[in-house]
Amino acid sequence: MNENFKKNLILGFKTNRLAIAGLVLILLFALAAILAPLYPVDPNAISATDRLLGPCMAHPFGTDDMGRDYFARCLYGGRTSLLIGFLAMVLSTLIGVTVGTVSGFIGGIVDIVLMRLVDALMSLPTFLIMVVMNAYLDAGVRNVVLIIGFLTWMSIARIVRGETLSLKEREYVVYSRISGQRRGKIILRHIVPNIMPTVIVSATINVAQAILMESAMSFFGLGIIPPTSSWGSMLSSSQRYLTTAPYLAVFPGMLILLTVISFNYLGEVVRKVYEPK
Amino acid sequence: MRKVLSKLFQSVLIMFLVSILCFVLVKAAPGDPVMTYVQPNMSEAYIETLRENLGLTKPLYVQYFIWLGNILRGNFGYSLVNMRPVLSQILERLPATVCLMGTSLLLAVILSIPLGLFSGKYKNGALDKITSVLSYVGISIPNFWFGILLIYLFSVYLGWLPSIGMHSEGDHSFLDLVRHLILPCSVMTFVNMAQFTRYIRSSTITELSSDYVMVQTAYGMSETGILFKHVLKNAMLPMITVLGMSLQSLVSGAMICEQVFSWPGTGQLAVTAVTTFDYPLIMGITMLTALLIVVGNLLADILYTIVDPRIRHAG
Repeated sequence: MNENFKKNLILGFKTNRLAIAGLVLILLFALAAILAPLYPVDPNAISATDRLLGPCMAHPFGTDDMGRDYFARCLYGGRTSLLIGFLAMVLSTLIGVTVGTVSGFIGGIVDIVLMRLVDALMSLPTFLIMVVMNAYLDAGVRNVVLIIGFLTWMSIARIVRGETLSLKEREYVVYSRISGQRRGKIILRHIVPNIMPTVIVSATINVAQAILMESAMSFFGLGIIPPTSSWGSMLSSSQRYLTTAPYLAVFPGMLILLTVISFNYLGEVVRKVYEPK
Repeated sequence: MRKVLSKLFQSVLIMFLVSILCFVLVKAAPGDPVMTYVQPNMSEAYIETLRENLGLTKPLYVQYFIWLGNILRGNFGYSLVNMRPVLSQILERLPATVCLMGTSLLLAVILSIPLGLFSGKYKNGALDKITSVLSYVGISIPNFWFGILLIYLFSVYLGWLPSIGMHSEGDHSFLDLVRHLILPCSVMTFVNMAQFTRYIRSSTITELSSDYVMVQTAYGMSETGILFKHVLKNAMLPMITVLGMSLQSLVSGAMICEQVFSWPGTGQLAVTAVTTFDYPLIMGITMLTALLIVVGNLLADILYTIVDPRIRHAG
């Protein structure tokens, strides 16, 4: 990543108030997730007398069907959702960058096979595969991360491959090849640093995608199941109380929407900085 | 022509890979498939014969080719749950899915064209800003949550529209179908529109800065004339590819949507198949959906070459 890109990025954020808002929002949610244990209310404390209370002073987001404080539950749910989004992004970016650079740099039969594999994976009905894999892996954060990571690296691989193909022809890469450097080293030293801006864009949007996928999976009672909760699984249990306590569906959904929209917007801002049009 | 043939070959290759992935996915599932046929009073020896008859003792690759051969002949096997042929079960659910997906796709395309064109034309204007916000919401909103909100507003709170199913009890009129279609269709249209509008907007902006637009303006053609006669045509071109590419997310979106609204389509069938561990049905649906996506992409590629003379003549 060069200095110019960093400078432009800072400038891009300085001139775009919405981008700052998005960044602040994400940082706020992340901070809230990390510091959740500092909130004095226990998210699992059941109270029979406080069932389905609407938002009030004592319970800013109300209480759920078991009288648990919904704000505390949202904090802990956010912990799971954001953690999954982040880890799945790391996994899929790692796979995507590896496959993309190797495919583009080595070319030939390796490239053909890997890219057709990408095509094949991109032709599968993602949601169905996700549900199938989840059905026979144990539900839990680790497996959800693995499933989502495994199903979302393909678009990154495609983009990275394209960039690698053009970088491969640059003088400095050609020189390092002629001077006999090992291929793995060239990829790490010369290719990867130069595709970083693209990777950052893809990774940012990938977090959004991962959070959406997790929420959909958990919403159908798969993925994250009790006692752990995520925003998606909270939405799942809120469905039964739609008539009496619609706020149970509104809060987690709003949180998902705000998080995802911020990540999508930030990705777009970084993209604009990188390739101004 | 050579391009088309090579694309066709690639598609076949992709489907082959998909079939391997699908087979591996199901074979890796825990549990012994023979157990679904076993009854408590069966002897060990009988179970072994059963296993042999089902072809489960053969090596995996042989099992794979037998399965693939059957599929190529249109035999997708039988459901483990109700023993009915997989294919006919899928086919009888298909019209509902086509109805939902088709309507929403058509609406999304029809609505996103003028929106995208005008927000590209009046870049940073009021319409552009509203469209931009809405399309960010569209690509970021969990579609099942949007569905729930609509159900709450229109079915629970206002009581205007039915929230589940495709028909009311004993009522099979067209009007009834439309009433059931409105909510799930709105969800899918909104989500798809967001994608399409963004693409049309950005290609409109690119097209408006090209030379032919300047020439037309110099000749005194009206702005709307240029927009709808020339820019529209060129801005629509990338839409073909976008439509092809969005098929995958479209299918996933439809599955989720069908589940939320209890729409009796293939998506709902798929989720039921997974929850009952009905492997032949899962494999059948996966293969057919993948086929739809691959063929859709192939058609988009071919259509693109036919429609765009620049590519057609470049060979």
